[in-house]
Amino acid sequence: MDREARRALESYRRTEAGPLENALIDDFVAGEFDRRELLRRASILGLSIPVVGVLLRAAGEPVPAFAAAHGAASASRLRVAIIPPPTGSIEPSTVSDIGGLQTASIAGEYLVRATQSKTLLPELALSWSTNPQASIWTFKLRPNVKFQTGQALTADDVVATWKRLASKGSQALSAIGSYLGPGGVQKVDDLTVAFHLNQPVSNFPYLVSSTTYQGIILPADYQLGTFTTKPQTTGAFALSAYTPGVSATYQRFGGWWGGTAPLAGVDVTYYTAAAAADAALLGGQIDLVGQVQLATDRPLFNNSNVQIFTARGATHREVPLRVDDNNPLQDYRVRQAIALTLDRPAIVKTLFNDLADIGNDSPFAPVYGLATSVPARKQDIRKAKQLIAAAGHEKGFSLKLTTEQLGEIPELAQIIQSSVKAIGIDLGLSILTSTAYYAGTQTGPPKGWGATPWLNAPVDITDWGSRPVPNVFLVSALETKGVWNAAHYSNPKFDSGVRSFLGAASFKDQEKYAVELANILLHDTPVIFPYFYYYLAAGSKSVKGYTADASAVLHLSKTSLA
Amino acid sequence: MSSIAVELVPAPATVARRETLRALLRSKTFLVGALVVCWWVFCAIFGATIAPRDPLAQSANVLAVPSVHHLFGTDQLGRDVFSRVLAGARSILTIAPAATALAIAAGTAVGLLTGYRRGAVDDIVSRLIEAMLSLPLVVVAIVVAVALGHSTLTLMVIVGVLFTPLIARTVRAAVLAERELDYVAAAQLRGEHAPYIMFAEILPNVMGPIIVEATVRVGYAIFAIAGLTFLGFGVQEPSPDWALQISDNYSLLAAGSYWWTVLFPALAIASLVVAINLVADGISQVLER
Repeated sequence: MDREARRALESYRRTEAGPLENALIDDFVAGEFDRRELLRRASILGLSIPVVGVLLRAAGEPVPAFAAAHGAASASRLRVAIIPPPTGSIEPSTVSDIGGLQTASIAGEYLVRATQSKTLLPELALSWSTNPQASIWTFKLRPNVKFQTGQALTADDVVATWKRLASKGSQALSAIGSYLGPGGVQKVDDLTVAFHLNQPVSNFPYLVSSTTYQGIILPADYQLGTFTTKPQTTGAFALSAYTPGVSATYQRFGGWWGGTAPLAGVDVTYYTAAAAADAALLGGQIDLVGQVQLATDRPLFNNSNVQIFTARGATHREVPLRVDDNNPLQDYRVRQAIALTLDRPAIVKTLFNDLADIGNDSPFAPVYGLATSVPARKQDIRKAKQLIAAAGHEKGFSLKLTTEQLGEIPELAQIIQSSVKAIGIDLGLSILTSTAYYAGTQTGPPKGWGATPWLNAPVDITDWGSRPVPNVFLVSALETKGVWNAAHYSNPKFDSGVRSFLGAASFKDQEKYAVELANILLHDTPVIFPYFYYYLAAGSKSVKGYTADASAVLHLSKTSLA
Repeated sequence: MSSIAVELVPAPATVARRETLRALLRSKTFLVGALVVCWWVFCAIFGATIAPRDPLAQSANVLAVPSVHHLFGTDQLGRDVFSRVLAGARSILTIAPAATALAIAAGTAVGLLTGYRRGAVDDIVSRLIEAMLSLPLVVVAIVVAVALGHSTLTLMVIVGVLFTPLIARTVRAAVLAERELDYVAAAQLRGEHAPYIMFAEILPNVMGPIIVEATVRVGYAIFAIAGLTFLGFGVQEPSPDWALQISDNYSLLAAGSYWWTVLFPALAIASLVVAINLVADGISQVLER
C-alpha cells in the first residue's frame, strides 16, 4: 500500500471531505463495493480525479486513465436515421419523445454527462459538491464556454435554464419535480450555481446530467420556440436546418470549448418505419440508426456489415396492475399469481436474444447493483394457481390489457396473454397506436389521472426509458402521489421507504432501503417489471468513436467516420 | 268425366336462372375462382381444426426456416406460420363479406331511391355521394377508426359505410334505365306505392349489376380491411389474421431475411382476392350474354 497516498488521503478526509465523502471512502475500504462502483459514486459526489487516484493508490488499486481519444477533424458528415420523427416542436424543456430528444441532444450539452458506465463526467460544470445533508448541491461552471450565438456561458444561463425546467409544464419535472422548485435554483457567482432541494437527494448530480435529457443549457435570453430556428447551444454541432418529419442538419461549431469535433457535420433523416431505416443502413444511405431493437430490426443483427452498439441500462417495460379498480386485481394474491406465470428467461431469450436483464418486479434494475440479494421471482404455475384459488378466483376471470404498438410490446402482450391462460385468466388485448395510448395524459394527483388509457386501464404495458438511478421510477410510477402511477398504488410504508432511500448517503443505507422497497413491491406486486433491456443502436463498420447511451441521447462530439 | 293433361312448364325466371347457372358452370374463369374461394371458406370454417398445430401456441423455436416440421416456418413467437395461414382465413372472410353485405343493403336502398325518385332527392343525395367519394378511403377509415376505437364491428361498419356510395351509384345508374320501361309505368298506373315499385318491381331487374358489384366489392373490402389491419386499425393480436401477420413481420424482410413470415400470408391474401375477381369476371361474362 502506498504510504504517501494514505497520508494524502487522511489529509483530504480531515480538511476537505464531508460526511458523504467520508462514508464513501469507508464503504470502499470496507469492501462494500468494487473499484468500478467507487468511480461511479465518486463522480456523483464530484470527487476530483486526483482525489480518486489517491484513494485507489491508498487501497492498492491501479489508477484509472481518464484520457479521451479524439479523432482528427475531417470533412466527413455522419448520416443518422432517427425513428420515429419528433412528435411535436423541438423544445428542450418539454421534449419527451425519442425523436425529439435525439434531435435536441446532438446539438445540446448538459451540466454533467453520464457515461455508459454510469460514471458522471464534467461537461458544462467542471466540479460539484454538496452540503453534509445532500440538500444543497453547488456546481462550478466551466469557464470560457461560448454559445453558438457568441455569448459566454455564465451562471445566469444555467439558472434561467433550470428555473424553466423546474417550472410548470416542463417534462423534467418527472425527474426533479419532487425535489426542486424554481426558487431552489440560485446563482452564487458568475460561474457557480447552487441547487437548494426540498429534501436530501444523495444522487442529485444524475438528475442534472444528460439523463434528464431536457436539461440542455440555453442562454438566459432564450425565447421559447426558437430552438430550431437559430443555433444557440454550446455543443460541438450547431443545428442549422430543421424540417419537421423530414430532416435536420448540423454543422460543426468552430467555437466549441472541447476543441474541434472530428465530423464536419451531421445529417439526420427521420424515418417512421424501422424497416425503411434498416434498408437505408444496409444500402449504405445512412451510417447510424439512433435506436434499434431485435423485434423490429432483426435483419441488422448478425449482419457482418453492421455493428451493433449496446448500452446496458434500465430501459424497460412496466406492466401496471390497477390496485384500486373493481376487479380481481385488487387482491395482491391475484397480482402475484399473474407475475408468477411469466417465464422471464424465455421471454428475454425470445424478445431480446438475451440482450436484456431479467426483472424482479421492482425498478431496481440489475445495472444499479442494488437489492441483488432479493430472491428472483421465477415462473411457478402451481403456486400461482394456489394464490388464485386462495383469492377465490379458481374459476378464472376475464380482463383486458391495453397497450401501444411499439417495439416488442405487442409480442410481450401476447406472451402475457398466453401465460396467464394457465391460471384461467382470459386476457383480451387492445393494442393502440402510441398517440392514442398516451392521449389525454394528465399530471396525476391531486388532479387525478384523467381518462388516458395508459394511466387508467386495468392492465397495461408502458415503455420506460433508462435512468442511471431509479429515483424517477420509484417516485413517479410507484409513490402514492406519483404523476405516472398507472397502478394507482398506495402504500405509506413504501412511500416512506422511498424518502429514506433517496436521502441515504452511504451505499450500505441505500442497499438496506432498496432491499426493503424491493420486498414490499414483490409482496404487493402493483407493477410487473419483466425485463430491463439494453439500449441498442446500429451503424456501418465505418462509424468510430460512438458509444450508445442508455438514455437515448445522441452524443456525437467524439464520433468519426473511417 | 274427361281428364285434362296439364304439362308443367317452368316459369321463365326459373329457366333463366338455370341457364345462368349452367353457363357459370361452363365458365373456366368462374370455376377456378370458385374453387380457390371455396378452399379459403373451408379454411375459415375448419382452419383451426385441420391446422397441424395450435395457431396461437408459442414456442422457443422462433423464426425457424420452412421445413418438414414447420412447412411455412415459424414467426417471432415461435408460432407455426402454416397453421396461422390456415386459421387466418376466418377473420378476413367474416369481416369482408359482412362489410360488403352492409354496403350492398345500404347502397341498394339509396341507389333505388335516387334513381327512381330523381329530382331534388337525387340531386342532393348524388352530390353527397360525390363528396364522399372524393375523400381518400383509407384516410377517412383511419380517422373514423381512431374516433370510434378498435373492434371487429367498427371495422365492418367503417368499410360498409365507405362502400355504400360506390354501390349506390352503380344501382342508381341501373335504376335510371329501368324506371323508363313499361312495366314500371304499368305498376304506377295500377297505383302501386313507390316502395313496392322500387323493391318488388325494379330491384329484381337490377340484380345482375348488384351481384357483380357485390362480388367485386368483396375483393376491395378484403384489401381495405387488410390495409387497415396492417396499419394497426383493424384486427387485434393475437389473431392469425393474414394482414396482421404481415404487419407484425414485414420489418424482418430487410436484406431478404425471414421472408416466410410475410410471403405466405401475403400469398393467401393475393390468392383470395384474385379468386374473387375471377368469380366476379365469370359472373359478369355470363350475365352480359
